[in-house]
Amino acid sequence: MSLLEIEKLEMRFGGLIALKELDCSVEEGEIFTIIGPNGAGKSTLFNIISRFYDPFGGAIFYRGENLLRRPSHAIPRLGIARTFQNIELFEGATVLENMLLGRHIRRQTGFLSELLFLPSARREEEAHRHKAEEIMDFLKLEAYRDQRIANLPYGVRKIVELGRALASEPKLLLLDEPSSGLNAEETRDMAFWIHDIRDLLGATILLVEHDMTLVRAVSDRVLALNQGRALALGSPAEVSADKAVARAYLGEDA
Amino acid sequence: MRALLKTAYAQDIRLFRYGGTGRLVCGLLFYAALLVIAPRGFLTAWGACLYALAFGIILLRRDSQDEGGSAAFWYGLLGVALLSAPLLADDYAVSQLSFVLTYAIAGIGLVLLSGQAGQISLGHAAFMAAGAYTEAILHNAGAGLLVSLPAACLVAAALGVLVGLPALRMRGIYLALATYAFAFIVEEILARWETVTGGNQGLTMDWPRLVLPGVSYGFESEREFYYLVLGVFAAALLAALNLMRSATGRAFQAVRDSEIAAKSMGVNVAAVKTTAFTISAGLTGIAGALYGHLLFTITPEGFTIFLSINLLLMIVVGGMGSLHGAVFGAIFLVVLPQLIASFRDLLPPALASQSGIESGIFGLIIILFVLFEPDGIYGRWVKIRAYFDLFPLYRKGSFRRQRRTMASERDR
Ligand SMILES: Nc1ncnc2c1ncn2[C@@H]1O[C@H](COP(=O)(O)OP(=O)(O)OP(=O)(O)O)[C@@H](O)[C@H]1O
Ligand SMILES: [Mg+2]
Repeated sequence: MSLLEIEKLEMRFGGLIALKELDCSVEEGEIFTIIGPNGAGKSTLFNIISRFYDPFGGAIFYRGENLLRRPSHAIPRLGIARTFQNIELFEGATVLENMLLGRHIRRQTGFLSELLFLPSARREEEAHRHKAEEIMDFLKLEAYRDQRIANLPYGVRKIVELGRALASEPKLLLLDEPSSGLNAEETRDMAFWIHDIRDLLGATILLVEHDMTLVRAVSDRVLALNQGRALALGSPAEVSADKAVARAYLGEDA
Repeated sequence: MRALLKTAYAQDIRLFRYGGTGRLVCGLLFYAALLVIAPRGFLTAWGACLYALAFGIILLRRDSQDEGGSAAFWYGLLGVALLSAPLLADDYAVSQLSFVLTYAIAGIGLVLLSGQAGQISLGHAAFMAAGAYTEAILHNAGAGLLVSLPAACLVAAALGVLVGLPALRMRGIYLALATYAFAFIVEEILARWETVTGGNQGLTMDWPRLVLPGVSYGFESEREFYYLVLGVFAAALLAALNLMRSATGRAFQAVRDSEIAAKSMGVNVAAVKTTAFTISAGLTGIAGALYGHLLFTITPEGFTIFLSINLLLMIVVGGMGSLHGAVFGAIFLVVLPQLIASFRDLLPPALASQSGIESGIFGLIIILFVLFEPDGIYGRWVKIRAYFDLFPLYRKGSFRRQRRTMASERDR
């Protein structure tokens, strides 16, 4: 059984067809990349998995369980974390607080013990902070630890958002264009991190990415989408050699 | 460098980063016990000062060499001053101080709701009213504080759940209007349901009683009641601080900053908003109960939209980024009308006799704060302190002005 199975997924916005009978499956432990021109429906797919959008038809199974039956706030609890194409951080909070919010689903103590800050609450807070600190270490964010997001440059925010997603210790990580807005060096770091996240943290990664160098460097398999339809699926080399894909990117009519 | 930073994370969750909480609490409790045990007149103003000095030097100043100085030291002095106030000040001043602390309790509730969770409310007068009327009814029926105060909290909190419902669908100005409408309904009910609320005549209540199994203690004066208010305030403050340093407080912040990101982190946005309204209403209900005792007579006119606006004004002026703001705002709310009254004599008589002058000045002050100091008095205080700390290095840009949002206008 695949980790994530998408069956005949269909999404429309008014008359616009954003996804058309999309089928694909992501295996445990792989780095699966979705590419496609603007408006292909990549982010839409992420938003359906996050349950922000209700699809028109089709189903999504995660470890055999139908995701569409769950509300959006229940998705992270299944072990699915994500980042956003346009960065959705908690702007008024510090980097550390953002990391800690990433651990929200890991909270164990109840409201009452927090109100009294019982030893159990203190222990849990310390454990969360320990974990957050580990992740900031991993992503070289220590220097920004106590800064508010509103004061950080774009590239750093992008990495903070990755960190926040990692803080929840996900099994499946959805990254929507992690390299957009990063410079060449930061993009190279990102490639290393993506590998490390899979190899060291054991997360499966579903990636949306435009930067083909990054795609080639990290992906096990690539799916090309155009106007909501799957064009090609295979290794990075196979997909970039595909004629239909080239046509879609160059915008010629089929 | 890293080792230095890494040790800091256990400190972050302390109330005082550089320690001293335990000593602070012990010292204050000891002093409170002294006040209770010592014969009347034994502890005079001079005694209080002496104690404060000794307390400060022995218990707290010990670690003043620590980086950042000892915040606990200053709060300790403040605590001694608050505990000593009834020894030093006259009845009137003590009752004004009780009003400050009572407003501050409601202010804490509002800071949690508006500053922390980003939800606006123009309905807090209704929670005050719910608390005050519940307290009055139970008190007059002979119940002790340990029953009536929690009941006042619960009734207000239940109303808070109700008001939280529109918050699940609305935000910003629409939420303000919905909460306002709710407060208006409550006000009408208070005026019309005469058998229970006494209608426009209202209800009267005297000082409360503390009934424990075996013992019964009746508060008898302004001064004694002040200690009750102080105790409740301290408990509310501590509870709020605890919430803000744990997952619930962070979830509030998440909902304020980005609902969509909050959801994607597994925060149940609807539940968090409801919780925020419930806690805020509960605290305000407690404040309302104390407020009722301070006023002696409560009528629907005491709980109109003007009270809601005053409460909101309090945290806007005080600063809703921090619980300090609630306290600064409460001081402001009590002191300003008196300042206005005393300045009235200086104004030309034609102007001074105008009735709306007080609300006018209040309004003007809100506008000035929103325009020039969105972080409130507390924000200004932080800046002044930074100026002296950094002295030759302080530059205007040291504090970049941050966009202060009520709940995010973005959704998705
Ligand atoms: N909330 C929405 N309402 C209406 N149309 C939408 C909405 N979200 C997406 N769309 C449309 O659906 C199509 C697919 O959008 P999507 O954001 O998934 O593209 P994408 O593949 O992520 O593109 P990009 O590379 O630009 O991020 C686009 O035509 C877009 O305009
Ligand atoms: Mg996209």
